[in-house]
Amino acid sequence: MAYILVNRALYDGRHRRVRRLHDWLEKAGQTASAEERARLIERGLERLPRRTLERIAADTASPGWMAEAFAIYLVNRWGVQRWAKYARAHRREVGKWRRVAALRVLSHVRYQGLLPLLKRALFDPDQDVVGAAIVILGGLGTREAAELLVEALPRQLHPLSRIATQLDQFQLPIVDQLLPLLKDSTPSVRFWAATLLCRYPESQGLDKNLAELADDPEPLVRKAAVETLGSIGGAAASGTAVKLLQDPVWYVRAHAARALGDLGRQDLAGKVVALLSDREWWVRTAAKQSLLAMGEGIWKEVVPVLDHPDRFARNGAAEVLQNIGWLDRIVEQVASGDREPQKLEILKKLFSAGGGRLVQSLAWRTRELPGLAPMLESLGLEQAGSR
Amino acid sequence: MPSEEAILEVLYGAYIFCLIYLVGVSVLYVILALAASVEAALRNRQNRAEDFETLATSRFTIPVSVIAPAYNEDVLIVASVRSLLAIEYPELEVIVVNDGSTDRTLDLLKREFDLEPRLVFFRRLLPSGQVRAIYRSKKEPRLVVVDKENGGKADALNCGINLSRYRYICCVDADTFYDRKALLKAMRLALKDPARVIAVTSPVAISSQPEARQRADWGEKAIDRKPFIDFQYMDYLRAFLNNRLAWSRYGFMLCVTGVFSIWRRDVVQELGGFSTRFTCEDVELTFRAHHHFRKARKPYQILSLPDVVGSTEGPTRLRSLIAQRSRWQRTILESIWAYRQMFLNPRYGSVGLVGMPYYVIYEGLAPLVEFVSVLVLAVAWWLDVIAWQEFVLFIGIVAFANGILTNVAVLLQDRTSRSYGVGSLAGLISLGALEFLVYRPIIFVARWKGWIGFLRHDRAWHKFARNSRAGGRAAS
Repeated sequence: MAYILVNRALYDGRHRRVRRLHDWLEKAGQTASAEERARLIERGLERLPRRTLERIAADTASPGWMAEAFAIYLVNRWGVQRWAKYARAHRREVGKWRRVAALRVLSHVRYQGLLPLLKRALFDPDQDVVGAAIVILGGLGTREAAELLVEALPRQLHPLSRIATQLDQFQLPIVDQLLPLLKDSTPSVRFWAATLLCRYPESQGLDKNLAELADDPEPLVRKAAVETLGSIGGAAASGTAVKLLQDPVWYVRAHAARALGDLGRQDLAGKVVALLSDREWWVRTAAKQSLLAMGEGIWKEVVPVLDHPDRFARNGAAEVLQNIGWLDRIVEQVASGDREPQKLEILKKLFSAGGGRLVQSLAWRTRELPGLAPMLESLGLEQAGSR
Repeated sequence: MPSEEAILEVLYGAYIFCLIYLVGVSVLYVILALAASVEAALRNRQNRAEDFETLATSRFTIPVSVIAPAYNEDVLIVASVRSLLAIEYPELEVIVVNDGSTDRTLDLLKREFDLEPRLVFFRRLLPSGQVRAIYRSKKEPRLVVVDKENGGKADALNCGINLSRYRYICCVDADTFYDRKALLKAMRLALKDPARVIAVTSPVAISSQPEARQRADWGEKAIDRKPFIDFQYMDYLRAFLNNRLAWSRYGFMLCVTGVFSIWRRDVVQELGGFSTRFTCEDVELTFRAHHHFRKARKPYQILSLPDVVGSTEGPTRLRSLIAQRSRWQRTILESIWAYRQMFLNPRYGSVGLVGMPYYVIYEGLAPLVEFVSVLVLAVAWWLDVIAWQEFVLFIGIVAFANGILTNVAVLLQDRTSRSYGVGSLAGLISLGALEFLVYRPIIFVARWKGWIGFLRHDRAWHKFARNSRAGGRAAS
């Protein structure tokens, strides 16, 4: 029991000391000379145990300046070679975490020999060490770090999504390193290369390179290619997306539909509309999202689906016409006296496809519209509308 | 009439049995606490090495659908939904399922989030009750509110899953306040290995004013002023940190608790969704998942983490606490009974050989053995077989052992989050010493009630009344 309280009191004491130092650096520290600042930091830290300093320096949650200051102190006090030794290899569980901490400490002090140590860590069988090395490499942001991360992709040293997460937020452009990976023999590497390349829309000929992947035997790669094409655009983008709307794999079709939505190609809405009656639910959902992204102008393409023999396709069309705002606009026009027979006919079909809930939600949204009740009445919907 | 010698022999036999059980329980709990300490240390170190900042903004962080079933939650619903929407996660949707509330739950949601009904078509992949309306918020595009007929929590969760879009679902309670980092911390391991991690859970704190606790700064949170609530919190800590962390380490995590459970949606669909045939849905689904994956020999992981991810309201009345705990006991017994074929069955690995026996012996049968122990001691004392000093000594030893285990949980909690001040920790430790004498007898009664309910096939929820709030509503 006493152990818990003593442990906590010691923690609080150390924490207070660090906070005092932090406050001082924020206020007086700005105007103090470099020597004075260094002396005060040293004085503030020398009473803290090494394990605490190590933990704060290595913790990813520590503020950058603090981790750096602590790391410099640790290296000055115990010598860089000692940390390099810790970072080189480990034997047991405790040693593993010391190794991770040492790698972070050395990264904060920009140790010259850090990259070979990180490369060694990348090939370590322990996934915690590999994961830490990937995070540190992502933080370094140098070309060499990017090369190491890109090298780690085809070797599948760690879950590829985690490597990709770091590469995706890299400050330096790494398009040259990623392009060759589009031809890698491993499908997952081609997938990640295609996905990561969406950050470089200005890269010349990228759309053509990605369009070539539309014939890739691996559906995940085709999906990534069309997703990126939807994001970067380019001459080959819409053609590839249209082609992949016919893909035998459902998620490729879904992403092709979304890509056309991202490209805002209203002129191709008709191709997407056909997917409202796709055999897969998720493709229909993607088609709805895509049409929504294209805007209200696509209503003409959607209206014919209200006559589709598939009930769910009709439902989907009604949902799209509601969500793009077309339904509300037409209802407003009709309620204010525009009784064009064609409009009334479409509305009837729409209400029939959407069912009671469409009418209910419409009635709620347009509850302040004076002519709504007679309009619904003329369509034989007064009861559903007033519910 | 049996002879005095025969009575003494029976008494002695029962005494030895209880002693063996007690020693067995103590040894097991010590082993679990040690394993949990190792697991907590590992998870904490992994947390410190994790790049949460990048994960929080990455488009590769797997999106999550948060599902919050709500039944008569008008006291806390608005603040709770706000806490869900404040969670820092790159892509999430919050689906609140109003399960036929008879209070103002839906009205408050409509008003606070500017809801408007929308026509949404969805697939009924899992069985669930009739949906009355689906609302979208004009202010918050990530929020969906479903109004459906009352069908119970499992039914509401199934409805939410039918509407969810993302690969992982996070089932939460609508009376709980969540930490901003809750999802990132809990999803960390799933992001590394989504093919194997099918479920994750994490503890929550108990408070009579969870919204106030959640507002307090990290390191300055205070324990509840009501010891009754603090006893419940310590109980939670023991369950999550001493036990579930250890179960998680050895692959038999048998309780992904409903207050915060992350599931891979395809797994829940494959399992047929949450079952409405059991008193509570969470334990049963966990048992079913183990049963399914072990039987199919598919690799999987169900994990429990040490990070406290939020605060929930605990019952403040004795009767409510007994009702809640008896419901949990019934759930455990129903699940054990439904999956009894896993018991000591090597085909189910550590679940069959360790997890199930643990549940049967230490969770299921505990009230019976506790009852026999109390009876034996009382009769032995009455017959002058043991002196009162021995009786007191015996109780003292058990209380001390119990206090040690509670303190291990408090220590693990403190080392993981450092959320409470020294004063609060001292308060928890002092209460820990009394827990055996004050709190355990209540749980003993609740477990007995649970047994009786189980034998009577009682499936009722017995929801406890919300604590009163200043102005009637939680500060939002």
